[in-house]
Amino acid sequence: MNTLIAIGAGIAVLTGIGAGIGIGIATGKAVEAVARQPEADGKITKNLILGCALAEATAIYGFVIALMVIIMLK
Amino acid sequence: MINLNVWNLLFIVINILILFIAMKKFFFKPIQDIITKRQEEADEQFEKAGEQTACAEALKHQYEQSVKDMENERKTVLSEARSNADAEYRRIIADAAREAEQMKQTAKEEAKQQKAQILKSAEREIADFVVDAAAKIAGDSNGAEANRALYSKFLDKAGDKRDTI
Amino acid sequence: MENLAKSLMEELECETVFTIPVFGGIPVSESVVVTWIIMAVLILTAFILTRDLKTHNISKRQAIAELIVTKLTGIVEDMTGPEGARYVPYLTTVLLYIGLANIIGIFGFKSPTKDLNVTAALSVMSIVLVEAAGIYEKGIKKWLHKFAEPIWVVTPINILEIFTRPLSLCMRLFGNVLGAFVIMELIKLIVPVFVPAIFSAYFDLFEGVLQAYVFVFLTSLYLKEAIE
Repeated sequence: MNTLIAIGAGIAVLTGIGAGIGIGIATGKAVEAVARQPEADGKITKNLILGCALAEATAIYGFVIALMVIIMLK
Repeated sequence: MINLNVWNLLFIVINILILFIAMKKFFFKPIQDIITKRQEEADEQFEKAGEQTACAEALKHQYEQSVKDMENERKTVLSEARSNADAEYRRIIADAAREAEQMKQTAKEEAKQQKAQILKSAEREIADFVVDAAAKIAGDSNGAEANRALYSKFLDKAGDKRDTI
Repeated sequence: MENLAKSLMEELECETVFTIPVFGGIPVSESVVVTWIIMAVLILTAFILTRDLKTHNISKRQAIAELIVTKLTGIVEDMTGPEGARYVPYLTTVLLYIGLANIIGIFGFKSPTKDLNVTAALSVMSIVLVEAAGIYEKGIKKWLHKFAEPIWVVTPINILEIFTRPLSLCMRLFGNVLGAFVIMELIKLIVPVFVPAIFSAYFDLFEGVLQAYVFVFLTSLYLKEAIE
């Protein structure tokens, strides 16, 4: 049973992949934008951080689900 | 941590509402009020300053106007005086010219009269002289009176003719 | 490893501090008590900062208070836009509360935002505010009509959004704080000195403030959508 729970939690945490890809793309685009328009640096950074915080949410959801799986099923 | 509890939820909601009301009443509102009040005061002062500036501007304008007026008056007085003097001068000159003309005229007239008088007396004298000479030549004084009249008539005619030429 | 799990669970569990002996005992949990502490701190600070306000010759204290208020309301008003200026004080209060709740973990208290009840209450209040603002500003007819936009087919999804929005707000805040806490505990387990301080600056301070900002940002985004 414990093994199954662990596997389930692990699968739930796989949502981190999405967040990782999303933040990666966002950061890449932000770097491009800064390279194109260095004077808009502050604005881009602000938006990037906000976007990252929003994209991170999916990974956080996975984490919460994994925790719930562990705590509820134990 | 994961189990929800109605009482907890309620407590938190009430807490946050109280916090919101307290913060609004004791923190945001007074400071917002003071900021708007300061803004109003600054606006008022600005307005006052603007009014004062306008007042000063008007005063300056007035002063400038009066200076201009004075200048104008001076100019008109000056030009009037000048034109007056001019007229006087012209009048004096004209008077003098007219007087001179008059004097000239009278002098001319007098000269003419004198000339005529002289001529007349000379004629008479010549006639006398001619009569005398003729009497002396003729030796008779009888017809002297008639002759003189005759000569004088002749000379009058001749003299007149000569005068007109 | 067993120890870590046990201590983690202990840290995560929100104990009941005391029970009010009415209606068969109302439990008051730790997060509520910490919320009271946060409230006391905020209101006391407000009292101290707003003592004898003047329009001229302002003291340094008043200058700081004005700076805080103008900065915070400026940030929130940037997000809500001029139409939502009415809701700025509430959103600013929430911003202050969540920010302080996330940071207070540094001072040895248990962050209230680590308790699902708190984040759930906050997000429920947010969605109630959003929908109430929509009804208040647009009238009930237009508010109902908004569910059928852009076409009537999406109506179920729009209705579902009423529930998913607070859920996502709640879970985002809760998960972020919890995740940051768990990672901090793990770091403390591996390297007990110096390194946790550096990570704490990121996970407690930066992440906490950022999540407060994100929470208010999303709420004001929904609010803007509801009232325009």
